[in-house]
Amino acid sequence: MYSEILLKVKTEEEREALIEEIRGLKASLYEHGSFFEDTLRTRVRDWVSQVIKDAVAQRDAVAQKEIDKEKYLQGLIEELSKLKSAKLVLAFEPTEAAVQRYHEFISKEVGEGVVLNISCLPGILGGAIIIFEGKYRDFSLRRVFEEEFRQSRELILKTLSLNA
Amino acid sequence: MEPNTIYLLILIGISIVFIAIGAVTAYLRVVSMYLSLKEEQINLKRDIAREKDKALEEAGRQTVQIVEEARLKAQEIIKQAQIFSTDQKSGLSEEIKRLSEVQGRQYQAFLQDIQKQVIMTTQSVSSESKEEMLKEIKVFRDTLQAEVARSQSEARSLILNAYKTIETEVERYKEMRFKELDKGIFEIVKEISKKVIGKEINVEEHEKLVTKTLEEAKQQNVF
Repeated sequence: MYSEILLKVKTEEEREALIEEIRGLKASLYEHGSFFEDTLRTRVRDWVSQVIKDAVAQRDAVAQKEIDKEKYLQGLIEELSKLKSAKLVLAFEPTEAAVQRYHEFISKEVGEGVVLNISCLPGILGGAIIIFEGKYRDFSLRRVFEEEFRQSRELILKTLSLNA
Repeated sequence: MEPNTIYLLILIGISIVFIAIGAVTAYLRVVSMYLSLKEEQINLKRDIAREKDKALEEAGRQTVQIVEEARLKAQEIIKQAQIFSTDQKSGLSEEIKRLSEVQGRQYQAFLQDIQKQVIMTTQSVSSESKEEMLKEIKVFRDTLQAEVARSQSEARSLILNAYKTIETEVERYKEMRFKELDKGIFEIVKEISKKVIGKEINVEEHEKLVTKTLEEAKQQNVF
């Protein structure tokens, strides 16, 4: 029921933005007149508007009646809230294509229903720090670099003093 | 100003104070000895003056006695003169004259003896006093030298100890600073290396690195 819209959500930002839109739509249901349609047209992104229009236009196969909009929107909010979050700390701002690739990779491993929480921290030099379901792994170049420098400290200092 | 320098200055100051106290003590001792010697000299002069007065009194007394004896003898001669002839009187006058001259010479000799004796006594006393004074001065000089030497030794010892302490602290400080310097150099090298690496990696390489990272995470069952 929600898979079409959930598959389009790849990042934490997208999820938050979508939840806000859905809440706005839900609130418009309590207004008189065609407020819901107006909101769909003016306050929601086009692709979201299209998916929701298609969804609410369908009839409930079991109840043989129109889909309850409020229940649908509430269900969508709950499903969005259930998406798992995988935090990636990167040394650069990734392109959309890169985000797509990383999302696909992780979704393939953990299944659907995951969003990426990406932040940029140039100090890590390269690679990534990954936090997922309580697990923390530092695969950054900074860590490798620090490790290497710690092991080679004496050698570096000796070389420096010889060259001084 | 560094704490070590202040510490050294304080110790040097304490040493100077010690030396000053020693010098003042020695000075007070000298003044005391000088006053004592001066008093002794005054007493000595008083004794000499008394001795001189006594000798002069004795001389005067003897002189009076001699003159009295002469006068009595002269009166006796004059009494006898009336019964003597002119020649006898003339001889008598010469005799009186001779006797007066003898008495005068004797009196002169006596006075000279007294004078010599007084001079000799005075010289003897001065010489003894001088020797005593020189001896005292020598003792004082030796004591003063010993005091100065002791103060110098103590000051040297204090300064040496302070120097050793400061030297140890300086060594420790140097070691600490070298360590800090090493650390600083190391950090600089590290930061420069990081910046160089950071600049050398382009977006494409970054993306590849992240893909490798995800593979690594998969192998470590992060997902």
